Amino acid sequence: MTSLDPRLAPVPIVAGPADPRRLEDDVFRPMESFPTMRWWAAFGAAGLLGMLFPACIVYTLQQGIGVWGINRPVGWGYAIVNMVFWIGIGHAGTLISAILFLLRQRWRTGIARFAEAMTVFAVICAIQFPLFHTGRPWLAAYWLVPLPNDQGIYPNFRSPLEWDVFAFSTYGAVSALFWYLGLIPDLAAARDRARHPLRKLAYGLLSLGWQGSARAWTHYEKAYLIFAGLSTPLVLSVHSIVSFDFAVSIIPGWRSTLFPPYFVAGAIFSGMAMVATLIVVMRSAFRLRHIVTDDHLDVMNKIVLVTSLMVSYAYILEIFIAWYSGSLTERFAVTNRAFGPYAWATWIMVACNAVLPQLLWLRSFRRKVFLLYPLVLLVNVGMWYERFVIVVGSLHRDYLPTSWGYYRPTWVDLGLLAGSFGLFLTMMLLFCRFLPAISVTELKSALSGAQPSRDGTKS
Amino acid sequence: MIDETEQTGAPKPFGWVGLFDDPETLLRAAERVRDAGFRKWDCHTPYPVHGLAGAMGLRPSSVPLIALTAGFVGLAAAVALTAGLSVWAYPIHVGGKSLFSLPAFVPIMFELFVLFAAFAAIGCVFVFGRLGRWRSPLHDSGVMKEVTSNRFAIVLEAGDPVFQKESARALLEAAGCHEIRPLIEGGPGVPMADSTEPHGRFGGLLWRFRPSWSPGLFKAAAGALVASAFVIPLTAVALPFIEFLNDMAAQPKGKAQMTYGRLFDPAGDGWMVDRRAPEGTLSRGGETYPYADAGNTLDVAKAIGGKIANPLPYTMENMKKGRKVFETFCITCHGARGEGDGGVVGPGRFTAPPALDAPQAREYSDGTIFHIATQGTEKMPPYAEMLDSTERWQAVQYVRVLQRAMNPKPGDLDEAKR
Repeated sequence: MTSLDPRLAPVPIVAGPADPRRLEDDVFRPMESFPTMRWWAAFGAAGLLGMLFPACIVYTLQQGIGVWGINRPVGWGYAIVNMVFWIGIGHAGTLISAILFLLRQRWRTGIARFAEAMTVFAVICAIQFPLFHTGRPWLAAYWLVPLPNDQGIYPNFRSPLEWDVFAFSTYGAVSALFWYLGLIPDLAAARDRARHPLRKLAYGLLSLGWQGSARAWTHYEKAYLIFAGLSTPLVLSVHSIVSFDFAVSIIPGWRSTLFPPYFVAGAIFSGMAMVATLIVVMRSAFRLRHIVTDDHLDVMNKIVLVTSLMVSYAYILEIFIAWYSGSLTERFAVTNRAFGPYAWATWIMVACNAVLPQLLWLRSFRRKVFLLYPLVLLVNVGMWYERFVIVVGSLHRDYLPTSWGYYRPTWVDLGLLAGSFGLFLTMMLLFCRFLPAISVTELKSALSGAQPSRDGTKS
Repeated sequence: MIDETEQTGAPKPFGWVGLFDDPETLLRAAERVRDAGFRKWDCHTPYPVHGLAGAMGLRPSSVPLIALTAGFVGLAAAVALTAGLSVWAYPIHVGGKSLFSLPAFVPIMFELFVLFAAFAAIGCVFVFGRLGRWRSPLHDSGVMKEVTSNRFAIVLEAGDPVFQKESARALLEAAGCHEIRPLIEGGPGVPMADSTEPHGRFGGLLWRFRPSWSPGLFKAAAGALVASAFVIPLTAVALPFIEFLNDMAAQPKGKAQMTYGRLFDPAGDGWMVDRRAPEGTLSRGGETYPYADAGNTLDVAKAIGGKIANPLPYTMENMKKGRKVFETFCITCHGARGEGDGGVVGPGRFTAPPALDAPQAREYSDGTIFHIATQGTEKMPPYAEMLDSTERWQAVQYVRVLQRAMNPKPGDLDEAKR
């Protein structure tokens, strides 16, 4: 054996002693102990912020979406920006749980469950926006889903917006099922650890009477693999289809074949940054630093760096294509983005997404929480602004100079944005308290000594 | 212990459970059990143990095949959905382009492939993995608790043809198992460690009545599924008719096909919308009727008839206009010739009015007929709102024409000849 450079060694599953029972205790502790004051404070703050969402929604439904800042020419404002932002956040979870699973990246074990939960909650946040953008969501059942109706009118299946309906619902359903499939054995462990009958009942029902039978495991493992195999193209398709909302149109700055890969890379970029943002807090609050180690942060930040480079490449390519295409409107759209009324947003985007992440080339920025934390926060900001630049930056200057305008969000728009963050954080906080935030089963199965030294053969 | 329970006849033995501490020994034991020819047995592990399926001699899972099939079913469903609706049910013509535009349907086809395959995969885990059984000897005896906290178990079921109490136990012992316990069906083999702990009455009750996997539960679940298959579409159909926040929908304006104002029953024939003007209203350019408050019985009409004279001369023009009025307003009940056989008259509909050419009607003065036309009588509604007095007088003249026409005199023919 040649000696391996330690920097190239695979990330260890856990740091320190690998005692399965202790690990189990560590993971289940947040679920089985009474929440601390800090958790209550965080939950209260997130809950209050989250209340803004239903409040603003009720106001919107009562008054109509005229209370949002949207109008001609910017008909897609914060709602669509937020939708793309949230659905993108979810993509990191699927990347970790599906793509890295297929690539046999063992380090994903410690963070997969948490990231998958993020996916599910981010999709929940994302679908609120287009749904309420329809104005009357109770009628939208007919506009979105091909339901038989007495007028004989059906959605247009050639519309990317209709593709979105199918993509979002499939993505949400498959992500939730994938997440739940992974949870079943852990819920069984929670059931068997539970002392209070109520907890026993709840986890007992949720774990579906899981008995860890070898027959069940064979089907389970196959199904898990299939879910990973299905989710991988699914996650690529979802953000591609989101990008079609723009790319299939004729608006300058949108009508680009670059959009699908550009959007997928951006989604994973922002999602991975969000995972880092939240998991750093989670691991210190619940004392899980030996499971989510600095090595994990290091690898995640490498993915952030790679996707940042992809996004930067797309920014450059957009400028190149605008010049190379010879299209006057495209050229105008690009120069208008950089120097027009929304130039400030563009430069925030470039700074946060393309320039600052270059610091991640430095090892200390990938590993030291106080250095990486502001960075990943700014990536989240930058990616939100990227969607803002795409949506508003293109719409406010369309073909007719007479209808040019300047978009300003109203307090309802801001309330919905803040409220969706509150909603998301509330769900994350509840998740950490009621479900195992780390997949104990997977962790145990990957520890040294957990597997027999030879395979069973038909002797 | 199995013997004792058999003798008392209470709980039936389920089998033996052997507990292991490491996967290595489990794997070897599984091979021996497999070679001993057992069919009804299983291993229980906290996590998937590599190679265990081979050691147990399990066939490879059929989940991939089923998921793939379901995926293609989803694909076919997507083609049927998109093409069926876009080509036949609701074709949208855009610049003469093909209605069956397959490339545009690819995203939906892909999504439904994934969706169906995913549901099939998780359904397979549920069905083949025999999930949904909340009660089993393993749960009840507390063995499951040890398994999930990192022990490994082999269960040999008593129902297996090659199962014999002592030899099965000996097999487990020979395979290196040091902890072998009997499992009992339908009750705890060993008392549950914490079932006796006080947890409040409510929590204890809930746990006692946790669902068991029974045909009844299965039927209930299947029933709920089928019911939701009806309830969900019906709800979706009803949704557009439910107003959640009706600020925009409820506006003070009239809508077609809706009743406004109160309903009234003018003559006991049935409720109808009250379109009468409110008391004391006068239409623009309208006229007052001096006997409006006199009443509308026939006697009143006869009494008043003498007091009002017909202001219009009997001319051809007036009679023609009267005919127009009669054939617009009166004809529906009175019929074209005033015989009381109008279109709305009939069994189950409106009662036939008396014939206009009846002898007593012919004796009415013009004023009496005018009063009836103005105020209505018995079942006839008033027409003052719809016809002005000139029109009513003209109608009276046409009624006279009808009466005359329906009662010809012998000399009429001579007049016509001349």
